Amino acid sequence: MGFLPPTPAKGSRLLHFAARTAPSSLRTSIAVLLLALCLPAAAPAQSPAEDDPLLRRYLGAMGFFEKAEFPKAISELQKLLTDIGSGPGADSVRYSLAAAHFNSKDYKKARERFSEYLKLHPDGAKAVDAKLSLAQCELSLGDKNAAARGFAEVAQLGGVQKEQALLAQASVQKSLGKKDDAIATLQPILSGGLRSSEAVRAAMLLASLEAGKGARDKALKIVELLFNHPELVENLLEFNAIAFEVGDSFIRAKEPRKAIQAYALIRPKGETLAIQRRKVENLKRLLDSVPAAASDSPKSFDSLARKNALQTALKAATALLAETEKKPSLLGALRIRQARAYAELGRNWEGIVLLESVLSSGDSDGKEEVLFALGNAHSEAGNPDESIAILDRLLQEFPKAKNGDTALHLAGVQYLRAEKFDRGAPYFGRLVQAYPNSKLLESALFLHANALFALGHYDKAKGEYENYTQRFPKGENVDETFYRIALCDFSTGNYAKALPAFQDYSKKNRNGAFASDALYREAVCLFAAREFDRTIKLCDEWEKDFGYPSLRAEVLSLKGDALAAQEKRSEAVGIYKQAIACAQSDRVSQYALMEANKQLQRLGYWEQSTAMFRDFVAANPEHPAVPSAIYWMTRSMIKEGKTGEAKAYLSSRIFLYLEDRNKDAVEPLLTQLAQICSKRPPGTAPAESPGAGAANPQPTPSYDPSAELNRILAQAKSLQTPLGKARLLFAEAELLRFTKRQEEADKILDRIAEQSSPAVLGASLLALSGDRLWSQGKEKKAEAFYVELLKAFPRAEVLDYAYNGLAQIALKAGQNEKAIELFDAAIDKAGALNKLKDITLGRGKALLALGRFDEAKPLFEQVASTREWKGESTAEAVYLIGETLFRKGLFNDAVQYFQRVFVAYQRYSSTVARAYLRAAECFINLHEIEKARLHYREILLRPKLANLPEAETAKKRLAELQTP
Amino acid sequence: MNLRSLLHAFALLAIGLTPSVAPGQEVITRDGKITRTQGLRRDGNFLFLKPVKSEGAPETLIPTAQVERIVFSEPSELAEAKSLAASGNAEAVLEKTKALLAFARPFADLNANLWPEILRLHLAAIASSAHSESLGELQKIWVPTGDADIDGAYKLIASMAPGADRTSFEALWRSHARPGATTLCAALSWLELGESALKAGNWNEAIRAFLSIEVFAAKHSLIQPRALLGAAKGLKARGDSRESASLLSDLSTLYPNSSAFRSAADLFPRANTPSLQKQ
Repeated sequence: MGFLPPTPAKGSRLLHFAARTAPSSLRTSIAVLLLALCLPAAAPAQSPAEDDPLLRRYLGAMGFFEKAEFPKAISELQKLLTDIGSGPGADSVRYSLAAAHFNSKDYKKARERFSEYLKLHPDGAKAVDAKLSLAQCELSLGDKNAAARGFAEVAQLGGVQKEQALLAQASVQKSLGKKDDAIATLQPILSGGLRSSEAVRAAMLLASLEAGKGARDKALKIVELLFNHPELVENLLEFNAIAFEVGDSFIRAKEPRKAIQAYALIRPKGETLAIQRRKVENLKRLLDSVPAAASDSPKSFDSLARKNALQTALKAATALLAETEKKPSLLGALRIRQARAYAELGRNWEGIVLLESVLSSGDSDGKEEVLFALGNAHSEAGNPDESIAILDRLLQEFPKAKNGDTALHLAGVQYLRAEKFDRGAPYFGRLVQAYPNSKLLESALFLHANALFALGHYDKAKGEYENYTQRFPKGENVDETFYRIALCDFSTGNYAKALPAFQDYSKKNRNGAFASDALYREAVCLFAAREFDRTIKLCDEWEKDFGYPSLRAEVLSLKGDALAAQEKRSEAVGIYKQAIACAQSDRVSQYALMEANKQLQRLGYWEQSTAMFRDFVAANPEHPAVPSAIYWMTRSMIKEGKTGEAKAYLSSRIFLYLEDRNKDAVEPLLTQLAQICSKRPPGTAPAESPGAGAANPQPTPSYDPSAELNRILAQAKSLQTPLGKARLLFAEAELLRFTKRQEEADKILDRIAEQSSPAVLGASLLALSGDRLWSQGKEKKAEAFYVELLKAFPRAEVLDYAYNGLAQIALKAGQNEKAIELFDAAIDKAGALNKLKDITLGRGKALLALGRFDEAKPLFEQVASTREWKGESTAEAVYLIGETLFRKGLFNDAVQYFQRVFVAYQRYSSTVARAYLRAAECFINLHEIEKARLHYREILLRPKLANLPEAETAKKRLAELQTP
Repeated sequence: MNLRSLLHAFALLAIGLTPSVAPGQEVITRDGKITRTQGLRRDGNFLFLKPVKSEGAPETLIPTAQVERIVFSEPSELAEAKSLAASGNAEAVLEKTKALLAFARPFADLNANLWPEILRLHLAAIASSAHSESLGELQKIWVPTGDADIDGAYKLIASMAPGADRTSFEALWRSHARPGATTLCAALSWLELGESALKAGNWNEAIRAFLSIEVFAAKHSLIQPRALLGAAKGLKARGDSRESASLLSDLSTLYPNSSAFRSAADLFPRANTPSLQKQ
């Protein structure tokens, strides 16, 4: 190949002269020899060169040329030209000299020499080639207009250089932005079909031009045609680049389907290499099939020419294969584009499949971008777990990832969406720390603060909100941030600070998104400051200004609270009733209902209370407050002296739901019924007869609570379902408990636990049964009840029984981390409504076991100091405070707590015995052996402790201490 | 379409972008000689050619042992079959390709382009329509093509015949279904893996398998309808109705004549589109 024009628009290919370009105008007698020069290692054995010294020198110079030793070739050719003068062959030598300058990239010199050639040999055999080369020189020297003129001139001359010239001209026109001119220039090359490599390259250039000027469909058709015939396309890399270009043009034009079509035509590197290898192999095979040149006969000449052409083609194909091998695969770039096109169609799963294929291919080219795009695609497809895992992988494998800030933000946002604030917060924290100049910083700061707020870390959240307001005083969320700062103070109970902040916010944002809420909270702050008149005034103001249904019940309840605090009870009841009527959440209506009831009770308006609850139950039969309402209504009835009516009403409600597993209210109602039955009904005791005196009392009619309960529940006795039976047993157990027969009650509860399958019981009985089994050491069985409770009743009020029970089992098994997680869930997910004491103590024990003393001690202190929890757990907590100090080596401090146990909580023998042992150990550590002995002896001397296992330990230790 | 006709096609494209096809066959012998013919038949170990330039002249005869390859220009029936395949109409494709197979079968062992080209369509149509009768007929005339993909696809389809223990083929399917693969074997394997995953309720795996056909093996248009339907089912099952509806919309628009689309009408009543209602 004598002349390779630069690749259109890619500019990677250089005009290059092969040695054979020179000698055609030398004496015709040596034509065969010169043609043979095109074959690098095939100089003919017999040649006329030996007879001609000038020719010999020329061949020598061209030998350097062929070996790309252009300075030597130039030197030799210049000398030869001087010696030849204007004699025969001067034109060829001059042309070769120009070509050598060109190949050594000295375009100015080359331009001079080609011009000189044209001046001296205007009709020379290489005149057209020289003109073409001149245009190439102009192009290389940056004068595109001159180059275009030059190529046009050559094209007009016609001949074999015409297509090369047109292609080069179109390429220059494209680079000058003259797309229409370029398209017109290409037409003559394409009019004959894809007959030459120039025509194929012209087709590719045409596709690029059509795509560039918006004729994307035309471009796509061309690329599709070329794709189906890779054997025609010399440079598949260039083809891929054009297909990319066409696809991108569709993306820009918002035509993703067409883009997908175009991208599908891009061959992955492996396939391109395979095709290129096949081409090389084919050329080799063809070359081998050409018979060797044996003479200078015309047939041999044809053979040589064919061999020369094949060798040149093979060299080019091999070079292209090497280039393809070196090039990056671009697989990642392709798949990302394809994924983007599918995403434009609202289809994210295709993107996932495409991007995952890059990761599974092991191709690391563009991996960072692929991971980022895949994380995004999973997020868009609603796969947050997969998305976060991929984004984590990106951040781990590419700590300085270009999109690291976006990845952190995206992962954090997904955790926030899933309300996993503890998981999300660190991502925003990292972003804030690691990317101080990120465009996402503002959002990250705000969301970080929001996550901290949601986690209840109000002080930290406030700090981050303040950070936001300082760094982004005009930020998008600045108003909300000021509001949230006030909310942080409010949530930590710092109403004095919160009040002015809310007032300030309300003043500046009367129409802001949080104005209504801020005014309400302002009123709450005033209520906390016992400024009830101002509270009522603000509530009225709120009603006037906002009156939104969403918050109205809260505001009315607050107003009711303020009125109640001022002992305006009747007025308060009226307001609470308004709140009940407009409440949009069960929580608020329940609050208002119960507060109204409190006021009615204080006023002694039992009848009104009964009516209120009756109306409420009738209007809201499924409301979670119904059991409480029934409870209080029944109480009011009894207060009214309508015990029989109360029992009848209560039992009617119980029968309604007795066999419905999902009705949680049944057990509390049974408890209430048992409680009522446990007491003799008022008015059934004999009235004292006047004057009878104590000496002649009327016999008291017997009252059997159990018979009364059975009488009421007789209607239900016919029930045969396991749940109905279990609930009736539960009622019996409750009656026994109220009549102080706890042991018998426990036995009945044990029967329920042993005889019932977890799958049939309601939430309350699952909770109680689990606890009974756990207390008896039957962890496996207990676990089944807790698990069923979690599974079947995820919203039950007794859900904390399950988390606590499972946590206690884990704690006993030494799985302290798991226990902490479960205790946390008992608080976070179940609200710790019933088991807060056990949860707090258990969590402390797990932390203690993990050596996290500073976290454990405050929990024990909390248990020990809570009056409502006074009892065995107080003794246990005090003991554990001592234990925490003991484990820290603070024996002097620890011993005081142990002593407090056996002084103040003597009822709890086991804890006392352990406290004695630990106190003795403290003294041993303090080298006060006598005191230690005294404590050991104390265990043995106390009858309550003498039979405990700790007594054995004490005896053993005492013996050890007495040993000299 | 041979090279020469392609060159001509591009000449037309450059002007009107409408390719056309030149008729005839080329027989290339081992000595590199190319004979263009207007008629070709086989009798045992000999080919009888009617060269284009010698109209009226008697047929010439070439021993099959001397034939390097035969390049048939595309028969109009094959063009029609391709067009039917593009709209997912497997039953109609089967009808067309059966006749074409009978025509190409005598040259199947002579490195002729028609046999593998027809088989590629025929096999995809069998797989798409689960047409066991057609498979039985094909088994009677089967000759390997030498093309690993087509021969592999034939084995896969034969192995998936009714009554076969499909679970034992899972490893084979997985070996074909490599991410990024564009072969017919890969497309068929993804189809099977997707169906298995759907049955097992592994929605994400099913979606991945079916959509692999769409994104990597799009050229096998006869396989696409079942793939789109399978993916739509998976997406719907995992609660992603929007993407599922988008796939069904593609199914109705691109493959209105496919059996998958007809079955989609029962499964997804809301997928009723104007094109479905017409049927």
